[in-house]
Amino acid sequence: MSETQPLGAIHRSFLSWRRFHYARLAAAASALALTVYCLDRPDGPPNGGTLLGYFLGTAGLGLIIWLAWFGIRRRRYGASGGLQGLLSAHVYFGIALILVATLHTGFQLHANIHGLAFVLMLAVVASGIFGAYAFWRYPALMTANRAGATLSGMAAQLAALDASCAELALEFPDDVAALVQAAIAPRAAQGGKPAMPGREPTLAAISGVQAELSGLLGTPPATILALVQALTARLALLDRLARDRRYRALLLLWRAVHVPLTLGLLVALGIHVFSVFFYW
Amino acid sequence: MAVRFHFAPRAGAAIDPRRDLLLEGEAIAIGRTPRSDLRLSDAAIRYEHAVLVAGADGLRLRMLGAAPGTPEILLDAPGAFALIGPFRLTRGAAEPGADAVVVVTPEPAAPGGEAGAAWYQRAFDVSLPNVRLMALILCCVIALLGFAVPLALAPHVATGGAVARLAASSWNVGVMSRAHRFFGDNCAACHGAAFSRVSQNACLHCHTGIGQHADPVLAPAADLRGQRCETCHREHKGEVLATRAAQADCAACHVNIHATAPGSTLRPAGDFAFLHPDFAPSLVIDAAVRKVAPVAAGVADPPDASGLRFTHAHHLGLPQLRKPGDAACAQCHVPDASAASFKPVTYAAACASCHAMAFEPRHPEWHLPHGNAAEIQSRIAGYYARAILAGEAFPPPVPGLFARPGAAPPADPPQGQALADALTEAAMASSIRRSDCGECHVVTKSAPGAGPAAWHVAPVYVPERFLPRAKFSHASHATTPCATCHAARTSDGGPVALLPPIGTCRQCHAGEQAEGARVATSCVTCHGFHQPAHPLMTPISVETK
Repeated sequence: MSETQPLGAIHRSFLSWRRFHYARLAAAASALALTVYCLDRPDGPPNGGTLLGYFLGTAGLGLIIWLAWFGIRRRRYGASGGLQGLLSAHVYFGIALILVATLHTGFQLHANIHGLAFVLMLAVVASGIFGAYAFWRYPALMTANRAGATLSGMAAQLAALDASCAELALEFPDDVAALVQAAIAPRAAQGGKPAMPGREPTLAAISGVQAELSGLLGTPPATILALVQALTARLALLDRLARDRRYRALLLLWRAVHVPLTLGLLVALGIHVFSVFFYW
Repeated sequence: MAVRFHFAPRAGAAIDPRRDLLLEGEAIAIGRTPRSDLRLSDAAIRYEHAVLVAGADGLRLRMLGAAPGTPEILLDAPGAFALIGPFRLTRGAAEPGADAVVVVTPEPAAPGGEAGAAWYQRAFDVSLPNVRLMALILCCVIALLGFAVPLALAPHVATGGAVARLAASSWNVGVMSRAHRFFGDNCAACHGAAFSRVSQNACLHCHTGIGQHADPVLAPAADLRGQRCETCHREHKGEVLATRAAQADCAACHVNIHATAPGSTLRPAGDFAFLHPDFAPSLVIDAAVRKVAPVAAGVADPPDASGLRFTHAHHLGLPQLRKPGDAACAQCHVPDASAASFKPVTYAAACASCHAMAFEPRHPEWHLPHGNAAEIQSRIAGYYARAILAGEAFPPPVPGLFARPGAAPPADPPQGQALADALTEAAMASSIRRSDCGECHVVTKSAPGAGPAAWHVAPVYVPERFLPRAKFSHASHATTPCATCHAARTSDGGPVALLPPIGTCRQCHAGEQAEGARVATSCVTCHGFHQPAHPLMTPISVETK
């Protein structure tokens, strides 16, 4: 590890763990599988039922079970010792699984339980690749976006700005005050989760307040400017919070796809193996 | 009108005298604007909210901007109150120095509501869908549609409808061959007990009469009984049934066939280019019973007992048959419907145009039928009898070939029927035996007399194939001139001389691993595996299930 480690490198290191140790291992395994596949001369077209097909299928099944086991292993307390290496292996052997499984199929895909298992496998790996990308990319973006603040800090900042805006808005005529109120008033939580505030009401409030400057009403210009400033700061904070939420969502939601699809894949895979040997 | 306003921090609390306010005027403006007489700073108070006026019956609160017809609120006696935003304006007891007293108290705040920061934190939370529920639903749907339904409907595919067939097809591991697709939905047609491989009987149930590959006694290793057909014939692998046909599989036994099958008469064979015996054509050894036998090795021009006198060299040298290239051959050899082979050469189609069966020089229009000695004899007798009855004079036939010079003429020349009989016998003896029938056939007189039973035409059998153990398609070789393989223009020998030696084939064909300019040729390119017609082969018996 060099001393000039860039920001966010901690999040990337699982990919380059021990100088891409598992990337090289997975590439070697893939190359071996591909070479054997190219050299193999089965009776009839290549498929899962040839000797090599059974071998690749067994290897793929083993890989899938081992990859899925990572979901259990990573939850285990005290697993931190080898977890980063394990994650590295999980990523690269997950990618290698695409090749192993595709060679197992002999490039045949049909609308049946076997094809479903293959498609589910592709979807699981694709979601996993996105997850790896997310963990490589978003933590750094998130840190930059928060600019040293915490989520609760930003929320408190927003609430304080709301209070200032409310205070300042009292000096304004009803229509303008209503706009400011609409922008800052938290929507009442009807038992459920509050809705994420949009930026449009704040934008409308800013233009409403700015219009006051050219009006002939009695609000002092300093108050108007103060309110515009507060509302603009609020808007910027809203944007940062929305971005932060998007990053957090991307870091979380891929797993909401990855995990159920993995379990679905295990079921489909079980049926695939069962059906093949049930009608041997 | 002078109105004194008292302010209390909350309902029921003591009045804060420092905030007391005495306002005078006909109308007292209440609102949020700094220009209001009574300024109430709260978001719920409008800029100009209401006006308090004095009426005949007391104070009246008139809401500004309210819908027309909204009644004014009367504050006529102590205790009367009006709600304005989050404030309560209550008429108080009379006090000196003021016409009226109004107490302003904030209404208690509505319960609930979150602090802003916590609210925002929750608003920007990421709400995950219920991952466990999603996983559970997905797993259940897959298990139900992919496992339970196909398993439950499996016994009903043969009688069931489209749903049962669709469910069965969801477990199909690959494209079924065209030959078996018509019952392909019914897994149980081939797959017997669960988790056991498809047995030989499942195939033999329909495919009766499949031959052994070799005599099981002679070559026990090649005994196919109890073997799984799927060892070589793989279903679910595509539109054409994938069949194992590697040269190495054949060579495993045939390279050293005498070790595998000690009693075998076969010669060692492996790669077509390097290890394959010379061709041993099967020649006729008894045309009467159509019996053929392979030529023994080393015999250059073995006798052919086809019963036919014929040479290609003679015929192709005749002026009327002399044509360039394959056109000469095509005069007699016409491809059959498959174009893989030729129609049998018949007298009518190939010979009759030149070999008209006329026997009487005086009557070239007298023709005889081909192939029936009894009818020939009767036709000749008929021709002569009719001509004699019509008064035509025929010299009586001379016994022997020529009349001896100076010999006395027959004392009593035959007349009438006797003359016809004598002429018929003479025609049968000379023309039929030697010049006409005898030109192509072996005709002998095996009994005395003139009847048809006296004459014997040796049976003719020209087999369609001289290498019956091999497949060969002339259609596949249509681009090759006949003369490349068949030396017909120079051949005056039997079939062996006409057939190409293996070296001719090897000019274009090499073994399975051939590369470059020669055609890769596996064993099964020419040879079949199952041999139901071979004398040594016996069909595999179908064991009862």
